[in-house]
Amino acid sequence: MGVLVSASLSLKVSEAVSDEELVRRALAGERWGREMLYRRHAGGLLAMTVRLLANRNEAEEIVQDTFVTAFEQLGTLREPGAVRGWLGQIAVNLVRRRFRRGRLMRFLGLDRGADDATLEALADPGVSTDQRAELALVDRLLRGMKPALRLAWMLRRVDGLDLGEVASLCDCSLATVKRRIAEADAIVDRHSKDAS
Amino acid sequence: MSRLRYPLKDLLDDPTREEALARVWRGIDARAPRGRRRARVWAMASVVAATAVAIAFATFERRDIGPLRFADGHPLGAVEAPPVGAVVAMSDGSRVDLAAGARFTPLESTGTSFVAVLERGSAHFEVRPGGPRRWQIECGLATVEVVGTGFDCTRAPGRLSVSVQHGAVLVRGERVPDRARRLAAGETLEVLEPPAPAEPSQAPVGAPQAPSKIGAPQAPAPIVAAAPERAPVAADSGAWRELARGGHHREAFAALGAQGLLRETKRLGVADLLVLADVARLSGHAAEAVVPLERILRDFPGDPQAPLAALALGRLELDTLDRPAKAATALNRALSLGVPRSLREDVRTRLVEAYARAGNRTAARAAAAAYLREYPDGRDRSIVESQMR
Repeated sequence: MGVLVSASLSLKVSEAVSDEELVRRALAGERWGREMLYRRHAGGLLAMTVRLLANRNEAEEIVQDTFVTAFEQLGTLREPGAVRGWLGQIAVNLVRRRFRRGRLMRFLGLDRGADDATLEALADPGVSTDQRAELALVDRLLRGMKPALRLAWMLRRVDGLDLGEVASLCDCSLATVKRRIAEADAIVDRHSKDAS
Repeated sequence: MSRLRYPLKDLLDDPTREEALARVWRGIDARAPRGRRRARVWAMASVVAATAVAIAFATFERRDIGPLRFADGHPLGAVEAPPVGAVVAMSDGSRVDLAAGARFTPLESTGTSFVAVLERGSAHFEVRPGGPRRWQIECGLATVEVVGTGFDCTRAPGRLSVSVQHGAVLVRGERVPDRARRLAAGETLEVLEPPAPAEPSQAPVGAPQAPSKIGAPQAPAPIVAAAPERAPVAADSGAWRELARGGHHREAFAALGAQGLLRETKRLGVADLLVLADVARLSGHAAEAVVPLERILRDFPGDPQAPLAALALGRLELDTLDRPAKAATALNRALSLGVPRSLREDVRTRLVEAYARAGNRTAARAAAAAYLREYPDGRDRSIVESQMR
């Protein structure tokens, strides 16, 4: 397999097929089912992980590991219709682990320090200079945050997920998510006021 | 934020690139067990090897027809491990490593199935992949079904622990959530017998329940799933348990209160203490979750759940409470108490991190050396090796 599902016909077909059906076909060993699941959900996961990690290569590794893990454990998925959320949980769990490693690497002075997809770097060309400066500030603040705060805040404030989704992806309670986001909000607001 | 609007995503370009998605898919496909590309690459080699494999397989299959036997050809019989343990080698290439005192009794063996009972103690099973028989191991509280995999079973009074090292198993039983659970590599299932109903003369004990816990490597803390109860719920102290069982941890904590949590901690047994810790943790009271976990380690160090309690405490201290020195203490305890093998590498890695974050470079280096001795090709090797420089 050298090319990703290139036929537009396949895409049209897949749009009419539910996640449940794709999971069933993937479980039956049909490669088409796996490809369509990937095609349907990989884009969103990749975008989310690029923003979370601020690094395109690391995000690609995470998405790859996410789908490899998911295809290996597809049989354990109780609700095939919930595959999107399940993939997100796997990906966020891997991102959390990467954050933890990154923190240790920085502690050891081994930080690669070559993020190529920071919020500032991803800013739309139409974004004002002020907004771009503020995105750069947020990038700096996020790098210094505890992984748990950073993850919850980014899923909420950058990706715009609702609190329930954030709690599910972070595997913690709604109360904990609210507390983490509030704590991170306070950090961002405090520094934002200082800067302005 | 004065000039930014949430969600910030609206101000950003979509970072997804078609070529990146294609690249990732190629990576996934290359790692798929039955990828066509891999098949093409190996096709020629397969042709060359086919004859030799076929001869070997035919020879092996001839030997493997009929009931399973010991590797030396003797009929199977019960094995009770001496204090040094025992290794039981089977005629199909499978192996059972029995810990000291464990007793393993084959019940039935045919050309297509093998049924045995682990009557007591711990055993590690290495079942030959692709073998002709479906293995079924009766472990009291549950049955483990497997074709080819490696897994541990530990049976103790009122408790069963199943940990999978590679492959997958199916665990069935009345006390298993949904009566059946598939476990993949790295996952652990704890099945507990519900406590006996409270004596009428005793103070109310609350709802007896049989929680089962599943933990995964690199994964979040255990999920508690309640199994069917056997005795009525005590009205005053059981409310929080009912709420916890329904996943309403915040409400459960509110029903308890901080003082109630301390009071319950003093009188509950291990299974309930673990539920109590989950109630505190999942309701956003991480510091309070420490108390029941510490009591397990202080008062029930011999309980089979104690290593998992130590690991949960270590993760809490390290990841949530940011107290690396205390995390190191708990993680060391998890190791000394014998944390399941499937979680051991993660504990060793976390120990390195805990010492490093606590600023104890000497201990971090020692922990890193211990990791590398035990896992020379471990998945966290690169990070851990940096401690050795």
